[in-house]
Amino acid sequence: MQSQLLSGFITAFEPANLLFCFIGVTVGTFVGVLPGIGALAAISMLLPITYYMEPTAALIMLAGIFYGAQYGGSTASILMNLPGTAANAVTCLDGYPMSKQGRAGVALFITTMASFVGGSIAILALIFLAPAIASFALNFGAAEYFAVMVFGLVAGSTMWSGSTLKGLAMVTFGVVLGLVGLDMQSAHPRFQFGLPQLSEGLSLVAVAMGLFGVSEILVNVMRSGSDPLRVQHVTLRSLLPNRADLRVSIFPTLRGALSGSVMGILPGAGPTIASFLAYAVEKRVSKNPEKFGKGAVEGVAGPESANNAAVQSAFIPTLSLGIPGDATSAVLLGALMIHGIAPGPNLVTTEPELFWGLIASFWIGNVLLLILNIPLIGVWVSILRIPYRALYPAMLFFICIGVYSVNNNVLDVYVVIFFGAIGTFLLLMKFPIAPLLLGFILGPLIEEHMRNALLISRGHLSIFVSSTISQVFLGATLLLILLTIIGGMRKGKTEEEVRA
Amino acid sequence: MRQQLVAGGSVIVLALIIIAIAASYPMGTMARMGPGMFPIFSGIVLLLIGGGIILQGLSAEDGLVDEISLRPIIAVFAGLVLWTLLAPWIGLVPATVTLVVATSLAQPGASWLGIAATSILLSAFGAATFIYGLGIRLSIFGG
Repeated sequence: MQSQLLSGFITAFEPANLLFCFIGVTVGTFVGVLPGIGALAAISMLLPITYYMEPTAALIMLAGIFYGAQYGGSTASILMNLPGTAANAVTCLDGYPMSKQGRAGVALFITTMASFVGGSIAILALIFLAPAIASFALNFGAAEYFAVMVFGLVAGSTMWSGSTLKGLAMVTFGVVLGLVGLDMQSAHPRFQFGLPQLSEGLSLVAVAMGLFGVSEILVNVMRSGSDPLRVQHVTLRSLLPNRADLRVSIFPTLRGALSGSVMGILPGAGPTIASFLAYAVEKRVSKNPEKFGKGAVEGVAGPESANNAAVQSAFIPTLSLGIPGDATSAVLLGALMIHGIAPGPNLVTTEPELFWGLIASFWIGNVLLLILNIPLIGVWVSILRIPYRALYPAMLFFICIGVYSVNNNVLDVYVVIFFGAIGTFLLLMKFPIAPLLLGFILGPLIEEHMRNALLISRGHLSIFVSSTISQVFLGATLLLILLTIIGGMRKGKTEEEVRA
Repeated sequence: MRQQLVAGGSVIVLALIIIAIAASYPMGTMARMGPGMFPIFSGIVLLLIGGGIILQGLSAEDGLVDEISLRPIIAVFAGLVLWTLLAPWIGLVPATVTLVVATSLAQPGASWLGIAATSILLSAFGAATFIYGLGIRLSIFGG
């Protein structure tokens, strides 16, 4: 393993890969800092560029956006009480009070350090667990894959937001959208509406950009005011924490890393739930829980460590099984598929350069983020002063020209506009749209595994419960659905969904 | 209108459309599923979920559909459609200027100076990166 990791570092240190890692984490920090634009939108917007790149470099860059956004996300939470991404919402609770006490710099320093430690510990888990899980999963048959993927879809859509039924509706709609085009086995056209251009299916780039680019931007335009935001000044000197701050943040950081790594592996849990869990844990174990909410250092260290750990460990199921736990990982898998690489347990052995190079780049990226977020914090704080009105026309322009550049084809841009309209309707109706993307990417795979399993069993459904693995995952899926129904009857009201 | 009912109703309509379209595809057998079986199965699942959302909406105190401001919707979509129409016809720069002007009108109080600056920056960056750099088929001015 050491030699593979070493060759991974050699790959990651190639100048082009290093450059794309830097671009990725910088873009990630940028969109993380800005409230109202998340990693998913940024990754969607940069997907077209990856057509021109090596798959390893493409993945290094896109992954950098994903984890970079978690670093940047705490900045707005601390300074303005506005979470940069949903996973940083809990950081507002103690980060903003620290800021009001004039300790914004300390909070920013502690969150960056906690992020780094959390991320690093989860990368270690990734290095040891991913190859082991992959070799275990080599025994999976079609029925096992079907069970694990269905569980991933249901978990990914029910844990996402307040209304779990709406999440399930979106994931199912996504599955059907994934079927558009010629059927893989019979070559029969499906949901093509007579358009030959759709025979290879809807393009991931167009769907993701429409749903996450156009509609997110539009909803933010409706919400955001036109006044520039007031942000306090942060000097380098104010960043330095005192000895007591450091001492009390050590154990929360480590506990956050642990809970975050576990939550990241579970499909559907992800960084947002990890950060809330870490906050709850810190409050529970604290000797004086009454100081939480009034600027407790533990309350920023734990969650920020946890959300970074979760983002990194989310790569464990994605890279070892080919099963993404959330929409962002799903888009990363989609980017692999664009380059003709089939994700799955074989990835570790068939694409060692990509697998180990990507993991090594995570560490390099985390070190770069440390540099970007501590000495250069002033730059990001000043970015918070840019009003949204100056940014969104540019983002819309990049969506148009980016999609056009993939095939030099205006039809693709119209598909984006069409999905932008659908996404806007769904957001206004308070549907969470991230599960849609998860279904879109996993849907065709689920159908294929279901068909293969039934072909093997000659049509007997018993094949889906014939092994322990599929029993466990289908049982867990059933349990989640039951909990959803019970929870829905008890609560029966929609909460404002949490979005990046 | 009550938001949950509209949402659930839309899901049911969508499910019915999916089932209606997929019903014309060969179903196959359980052992050899045809192209129609999985979509119909998905459509039925969606139908059940839509029913569930409506039941939830009937049983609970439910918010109304938010009031929708048309100005940003029209401005943003007009900007996108105009860019797509104009770019292959009269070139990147006029299309981009149109997009920036149209989308800037989504929020009240846009400054013309800001619009001009954004237009120039984006046109220059787009031409340099996408036309010269990546070599996409689009002219800067003219068709």
